[in-house]
Amino acid sequence: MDEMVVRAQAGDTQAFTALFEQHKGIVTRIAFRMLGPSADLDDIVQEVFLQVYRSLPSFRGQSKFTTWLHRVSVNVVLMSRRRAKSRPSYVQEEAGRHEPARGLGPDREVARGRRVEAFQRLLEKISEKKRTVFILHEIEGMSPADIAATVECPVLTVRTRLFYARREIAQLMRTEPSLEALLDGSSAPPVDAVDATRAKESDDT
Amino acid sequence: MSHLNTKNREAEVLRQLIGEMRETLPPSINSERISAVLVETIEAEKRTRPAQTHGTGASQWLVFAAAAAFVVVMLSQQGAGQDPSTDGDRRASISAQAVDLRTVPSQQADGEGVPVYRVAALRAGVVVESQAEPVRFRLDGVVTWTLAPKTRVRVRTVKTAPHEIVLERGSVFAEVKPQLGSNELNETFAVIAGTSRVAVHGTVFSVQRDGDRVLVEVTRGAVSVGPVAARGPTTGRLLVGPARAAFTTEQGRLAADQSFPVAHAPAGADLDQEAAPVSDQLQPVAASPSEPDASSARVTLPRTRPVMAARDVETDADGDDADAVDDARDNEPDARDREAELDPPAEPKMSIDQARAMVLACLNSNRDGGQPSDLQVTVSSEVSVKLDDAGKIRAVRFSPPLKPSLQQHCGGALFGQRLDAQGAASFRIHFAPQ
Repeated sequence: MDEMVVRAQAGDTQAFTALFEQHKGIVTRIAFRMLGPSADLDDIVQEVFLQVYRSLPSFRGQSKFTTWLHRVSVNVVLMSRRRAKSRPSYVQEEAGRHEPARGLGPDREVARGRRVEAFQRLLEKISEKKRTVFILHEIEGMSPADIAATVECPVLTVRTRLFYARREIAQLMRTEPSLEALLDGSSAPPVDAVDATRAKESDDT
Repeated sequence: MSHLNTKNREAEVLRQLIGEMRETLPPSINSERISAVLVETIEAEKRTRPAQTHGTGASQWLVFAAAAAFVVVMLSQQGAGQDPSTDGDRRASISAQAVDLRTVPSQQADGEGVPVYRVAALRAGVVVESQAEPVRFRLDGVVTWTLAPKTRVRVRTVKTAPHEIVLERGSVFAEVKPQLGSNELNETFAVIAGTSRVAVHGTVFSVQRDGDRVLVEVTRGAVSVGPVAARGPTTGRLLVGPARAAFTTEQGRLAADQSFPVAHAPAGADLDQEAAPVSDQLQPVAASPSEPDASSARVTLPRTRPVMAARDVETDADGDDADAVDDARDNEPDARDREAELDPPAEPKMSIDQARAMVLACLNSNRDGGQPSDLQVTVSSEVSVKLDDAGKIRAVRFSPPLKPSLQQHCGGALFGQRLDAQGAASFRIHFAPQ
């Protein structure tokens, strides 16, 4: 077992803080991927690490610490989703949501942001189980075996869920105007897709 | 063949989307604060752990709590033997132990006879629930908050600024000391209610929760109300006191602002009564002009007042807001003026002048509580706004730009407001410290 984990298990607060610093990025990313931009990430991350602290004594080192951390994170995130289900969630305003990156022009960046938003909406439409394995595998790059350990189900079940998740998402893409334009386009120019969406929206109004 | 092409195209687009989502980085978190809260909680749990091992059973504590005089501070549940990794919903409730507030260091009851306890004696994660009487907590030099009877809050942070509490039920009244000497939007205290966050910089206000609806009343000063999820200072909606507004969420957005009469009863005067549901408080006051009832005095804001609560007045589900009656007390100097405001404005859109006044009020709100302004610079700028089809402000630009924090604060106040203009508008502001 990692020395830091052992020290944290023994109640060393500094070691636990070091674990937090080391793994906060992974936890934040999982929470962000699974909950979307409107989530209170600070709260979720804090909650995850509190759970980690409380359950560290029961961690026997039979799996990698990161796998176990994923499991705790996913459980906290799922519980948070269930809690928030009865409440409406906030959607952040478009402006300022996506920082310019990698020299893309503002239009392209906006279009990319819109596609990501549309994709997140799609993910919201599939079941929780499928969404979880899809995000962990496709976005986080976890192996089906690790996902199986995380969500506590057979590897075959993970693969089945992945298959159906991909199929459902592919079907649902037609329901999102910006993605539909992307599907119909030949070389997928992102800006055109957004322009098409805007034009469609203005036609509708 | 065409079917195959479609499938290939779908797979290609899916790959592209997955790639783009991978590249989208999450917003940064306030790891310094989280780390501080974690350390604080861990140290506190370490201190309480020995007590737990001496057979302090949950039921024992609960019985003790039930017998407690009027208030218990409950730490959340942490079931022994359970796998905490499957128990993400319990952070707010750490363990089934309950602590009598008599064991919490307190100061003498204040003039109103309400006992005052020290916030510093609490720790993050503690849940405080008032019973039949109000209870008050003080964080020296920062805030005094009072729970109405039957109110439940969870303390989110104590030692790290801002001091935050999560209102789970009932209502809380708070008096925040203005932090002078800084132009920054230092949030010293915040109340989280559902998905809304009410952040203050020095003011007297109350927050009441009724399910997803949050009622905010500002006696003086200003508070910002916005989504919990937003990064940085809360800038969603600005309420400049005296004002009162209900916030709900609608289709995932902060649908503000069912504004309604301001209570001029002394702040916290309702504390002797159990917190009524927000929906009840939204009902118009059935006042009789011949029999003014000071305890239920309600006035509407002057139409010219540059506060957010004064605009966007919408009728509630029953359409009763239009019947709101002003029975302000006779000794109110401007009661007559307010009587003219018996009905909400027919036109909910703001004029340019009102928008300008709102920005100036926003700049002015940087000072608080009648204290000298901590904004000592003159601000002169051209404000350009862009509107959507519904006339709502969707973009705000200051030229020349203001200090980012001020710009965020004032721009956030305007954002989402309905302006009486088409497409775009601009106006000049000039603010000089008095």
